[in-house]
Amino acid sequence: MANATLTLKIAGTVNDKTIAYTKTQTVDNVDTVIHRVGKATINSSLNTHVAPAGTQTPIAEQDHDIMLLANIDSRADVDFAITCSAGDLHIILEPGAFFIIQKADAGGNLNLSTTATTTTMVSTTSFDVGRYHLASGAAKFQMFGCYNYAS
Amino acid sequence: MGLVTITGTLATDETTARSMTSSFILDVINFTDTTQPVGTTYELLAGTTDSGSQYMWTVVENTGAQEAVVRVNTDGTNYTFFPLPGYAVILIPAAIWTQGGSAPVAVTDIRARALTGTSILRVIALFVA
Repeated sequence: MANATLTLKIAGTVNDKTIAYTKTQTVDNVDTVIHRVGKATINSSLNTHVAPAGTQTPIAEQDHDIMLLANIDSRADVDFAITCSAGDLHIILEPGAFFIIQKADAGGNLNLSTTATTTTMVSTTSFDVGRYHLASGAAKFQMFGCYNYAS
Repeated sequence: MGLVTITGTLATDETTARSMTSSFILDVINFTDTTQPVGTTYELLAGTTDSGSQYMWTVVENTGAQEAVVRVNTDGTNYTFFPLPGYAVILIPAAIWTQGGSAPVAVTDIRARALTGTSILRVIALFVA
């Protein structure tokens, strides 16, 4: 059984004050890893990354223990549309930018609600990826998710 | 003002190890770095009010074992919630959109609560131009 390790670093100097932050998080007992490098469709259409019916293609498996989504293009913004039972969350990332998905102890990766006191999380059901702005040329993205398939 | 580099790496220690790294630079006009306890009601971690900026990227780290939930507010009506397990960290972009939207909306404030007991959270808010 493998482990996954997330490392987040922030470094710089703002108004003569230094930021030097490093955080390492380990997720134990990872038995399945999905890793996809792709090109999002031109003209802001969204490509859906779901498990085809009858298969176990894991890109859209629920309850990723941890996942990293990144725009690895050099010039185009990428729209990551993360779907769950509560709706769609769109994360627009500039080149190089990334987003981290964690999992609640009780399961679930996020929630969307008009109720400010919500605490329950729901699972992701699909990931759609597209170039955000209308323009020709694809935008490159990368997705790396780790989870325990048996749990 | 100053430039800040944010780098994220996710790696596994499988027999054939895999990893992914991404990095980007923000033009930051000001930042805060605080650590605070939160109880079982949502408490303010960071906001753009009085920051001199309309946009902030935010890191929230759970420094203890007690799980927390992070709530992101954009328009005061639609909230986005993220789990923050013990010793986990998340990075929240400056703008997102949810149901009914068609373009990113700036994150105005971020709040969090512990599921039970008390969570100790470190929060770095990077206010960008």
